[in-house]
Amino acid sequence: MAVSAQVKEAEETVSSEDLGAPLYVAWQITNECNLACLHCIEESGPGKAFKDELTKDEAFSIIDQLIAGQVPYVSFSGGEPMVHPHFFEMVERIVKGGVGLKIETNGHYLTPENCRRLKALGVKAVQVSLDGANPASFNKMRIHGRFESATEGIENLRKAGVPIEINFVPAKFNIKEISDVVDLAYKLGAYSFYTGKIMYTGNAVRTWKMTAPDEADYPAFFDALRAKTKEYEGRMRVYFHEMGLLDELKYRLQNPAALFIILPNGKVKLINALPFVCGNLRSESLGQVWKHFQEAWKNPKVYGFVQELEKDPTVVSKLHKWVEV
Amino acid sequence: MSYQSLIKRAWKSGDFVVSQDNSSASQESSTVQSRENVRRELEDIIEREAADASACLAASKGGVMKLAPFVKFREEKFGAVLFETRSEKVYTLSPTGAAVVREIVAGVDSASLFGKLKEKYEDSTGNMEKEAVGFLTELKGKGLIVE
Repeated sequence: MAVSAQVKEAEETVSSEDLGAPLYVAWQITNECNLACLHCIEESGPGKAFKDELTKDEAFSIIDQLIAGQVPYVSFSGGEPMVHPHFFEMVERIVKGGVGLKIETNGHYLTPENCRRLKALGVKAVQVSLDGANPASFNKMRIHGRFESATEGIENLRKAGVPIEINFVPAKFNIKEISDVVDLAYKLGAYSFYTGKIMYTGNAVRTWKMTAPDEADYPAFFDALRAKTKEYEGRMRVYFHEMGLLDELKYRLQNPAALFIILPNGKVKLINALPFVCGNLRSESLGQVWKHFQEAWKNPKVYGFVQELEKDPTVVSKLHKWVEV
Repeated sequence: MSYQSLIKRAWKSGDFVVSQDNSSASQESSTVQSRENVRRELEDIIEREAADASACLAASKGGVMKLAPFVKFREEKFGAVLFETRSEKVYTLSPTGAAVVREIVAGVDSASLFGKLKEKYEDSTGNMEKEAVGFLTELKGKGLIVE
């Protein structure tokens, strides 16, 4: 028996085809949201719940399959996941089943009581979107949103002892605040900070003139992030994706990540930045959908879409016109 | 209302400027309420940390290894994977590596781990214990298990 040197980072050693189930599932549990953000990839907002969203029983059935499939990590997002009528019941069921759970929220429902509840239930992390270092830019990006509500929510998480992640999307009017936002995230108690380029899809298609940063601002943005990564080394992880969408998708064609996206109606997407749907957990088992997922990444339509994107970057504006593969 | 109109209204009306309530009476009442909340939260945190500390002490006394709090283990055909949720990093394990981690998940203490492994696997090189120690050190170094 030789046991040494047998723990390796999976990126180098395993493909998603070798795995019996996904390692990460990003589940948009509702498309309803209290805010109507300028850049929302899902075009969520008040009254934007899908008409055919999963019922409580259907959602519980999917949770039970994720537990049985030993999916190690799941995120609940939306829309705003905390407006889902069965949010806490779903959290309780999935965490009790041994799945690590992350909540991705705008932070407006993170009252002290809700944060204590999330801690008691054993949520692994809560990611809050903080698109600005001050109310002027934050509230400009997040229509109906309040900077103070988000930062108070983050404070409440910290007091309750829930691990905090912060997400930031750059726009024309906030991109130069990046260093201040990273500092604020650390001050508020975050252990991770995520950012990347804004995507031309969802609401951003309609608001591109107001939101899209000048391309010339990106080098300074990423330089600032590199400096902050060093500054906070060992205290807070700063993650940022310099790779554009096209490069990312080209890479994924060769190396599909072991993750998929569940939409509020149970349909399963390959990745958020592609319109392709590979199954429906309302009517199919996790095992069947995982098998379709492997096959779908090899579908010529997927390869064709990425090729088309190379010629015309605006094709991602149609991500919500799902294509079954 | 169209989405563009909604944005225009929000921006034009200064919807993003938060109004402040200057009433002294409501400020006083909210201060008392806030103090009570802070006190309750502190009491909760103290209680929770005391419970966590007891659990850590108990584990330490028994020399029990366990997966780190943010690590998930799943067996696969090729061995197993460890998923570290904080960094979202995935590590693969060979079948023998998986066997070691399976014992850890089962709650075997350090002292009896090597005995258990010797029961299950032939120690052809005579180096099994040394190799297993190296493997465990690597897992600890990556923050995947704690003792």
